[in-house]
Amino acid sequence: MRYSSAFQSDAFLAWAGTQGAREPLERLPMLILVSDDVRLDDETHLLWGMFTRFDAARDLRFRESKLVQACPTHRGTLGIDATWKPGYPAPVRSNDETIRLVDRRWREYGIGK
Amino acid sequence: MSAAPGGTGAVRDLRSFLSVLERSGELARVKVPVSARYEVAEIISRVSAAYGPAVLFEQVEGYDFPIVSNLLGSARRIELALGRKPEQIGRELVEVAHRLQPPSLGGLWKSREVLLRVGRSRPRIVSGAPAQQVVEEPDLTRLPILTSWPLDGGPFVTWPMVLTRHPVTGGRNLGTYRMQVFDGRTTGMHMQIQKGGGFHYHEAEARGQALPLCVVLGGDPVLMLASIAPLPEDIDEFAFAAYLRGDTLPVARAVSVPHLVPASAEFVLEGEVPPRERRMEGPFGDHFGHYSHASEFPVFHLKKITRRRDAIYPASVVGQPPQEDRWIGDALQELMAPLAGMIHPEVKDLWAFFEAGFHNLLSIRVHERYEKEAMKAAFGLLGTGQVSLSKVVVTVGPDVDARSASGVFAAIGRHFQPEHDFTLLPGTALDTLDFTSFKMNLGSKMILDATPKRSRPARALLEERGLPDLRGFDPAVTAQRLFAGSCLVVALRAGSDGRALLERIPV
Repeated sequence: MRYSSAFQSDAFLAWAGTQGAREPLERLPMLILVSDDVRLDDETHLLWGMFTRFDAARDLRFRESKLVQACPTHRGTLGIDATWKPGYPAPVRSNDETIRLVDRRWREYGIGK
Repeated sequence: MSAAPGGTGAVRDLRSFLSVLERSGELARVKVPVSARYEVAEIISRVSAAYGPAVLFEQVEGYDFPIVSNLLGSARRIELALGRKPEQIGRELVEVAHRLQPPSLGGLWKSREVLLRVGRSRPRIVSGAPAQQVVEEPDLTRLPILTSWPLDGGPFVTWPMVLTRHPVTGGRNLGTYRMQVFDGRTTGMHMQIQKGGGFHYHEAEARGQALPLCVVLGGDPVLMLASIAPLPEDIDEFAFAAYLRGDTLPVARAVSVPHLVPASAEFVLEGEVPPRERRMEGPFGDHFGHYSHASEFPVFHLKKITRRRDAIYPASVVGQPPQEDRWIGDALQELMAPLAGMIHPEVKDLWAFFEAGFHNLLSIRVHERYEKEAMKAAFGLLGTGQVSLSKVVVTVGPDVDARSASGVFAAIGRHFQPEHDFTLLPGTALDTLDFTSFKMNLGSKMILDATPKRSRPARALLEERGLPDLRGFDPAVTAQRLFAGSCLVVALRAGSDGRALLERIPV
């Protein structure tokens, strides 16, 4: 019995084949989708984006998942949808007015840098 | 253990700590007026990200009291507060525990060695406490309480040490729970169900009683650290603070409620939380880097405020990591991590990542004596104190640095195979701040076992240049990065349906 037949489509691997990249993708351990507000080149921000926005039961997919007797058994890449989803609260950030105010006053504060 | 105190030296209260910080170049004074509404939070957020100093805002627009913030926001400042490195304290506690007969962590807190250091553990009642130089009718609108972020529900007290006692046993708890200011004498009390003060309130409410409560602001920085430490339920934070500093804690009788309060505090808010009263609290931009939803929480009614004549208001700023809590969390982990090995001998280290908001990612370094002992370690820790709130647990082998995210992810690349090493735990209790399951306090956890296996060879890690550019596959993709040779992170344009794309990428 299989849960996620959509995951078995060969379209992607066929495309990867045309890019000469089928083999590394076939043995990719994890794939995490994040929203584009996450700065991939900043490790702190990257880990924040990867780990604050998914629920394991809702948002995970493996290439293949099946029930072996009573045991859910998964194979292939662990895929995680860690994008920001409708219904989630907004990321924390000040408003533009405050950001500009602090930019402008920074030297006055005398904190350095 | 040496009989000498830890060397906290002259640090007894906020004033002496600020002097030490100033002499060490760890304090900046901002002399121009600033606003407690948004401006201070934005400043402190930038200072934290740049590993900057503690900041004393000498003038706050509309208020008489100065604000100090980012007080414990560096490893060096925490070391100055404690008088030594946190891991030294952790190792010392383990040594003491090993000398007990039988060796145990539970007995540690009752051991003669620890009690001697705590000065027989009794707080010392003093008269003329600085924290009570002024006693007044409550008016929180006079305190420079921060409104940090634009969508916050209002001003929040962010560094409160909330003092409660168990209604039956009288056992004390000191914890940190954010407090939204509703008016001059009423606040929310964000006691989370899994924490000490929350248990006390639950007991009081079950008896139809109000819970008398004191909120301590500022004072001995060691007590501030102890109030956040994830101690076992029956451990008194006052005694733990006394242990850390090697001396008793001077206290005074609160003026309107039956509590002993730290004599060196800057402010003490006295009052009670009545049973069965709830009020909407939030939203609040929290350390998960997102706002937590508004929700119903108990309500604190103030009876009196006591304070120093020239009190300084302490504020912490939380939001997208890194903030001050990164350093506090890391220090407490360094202190507590060695103790985990006492309960779970196979555990050599553990680390919760501030980048992920701490509870969302825990790695455990395990030395397996038999196959899959790592799972015992993971389940054991998922049943231990606040570590039990961890959401993603990764176990790694003895040669991996559990405190390095890239090391942990490389271990996943080499050793994790989902058919053997993936465990999903749906529908369990989660941190109150977690919003991903759309159910408060509930959600899923997972364990990834990335320890090396005798029966399976390690796999080679991938290289970035061998991977295709996924922008060519789907226009929603904006960028990608292979992290630690094992995890391809793909950024999608805002508003894209990640789940649909995930199902189209049958990697």
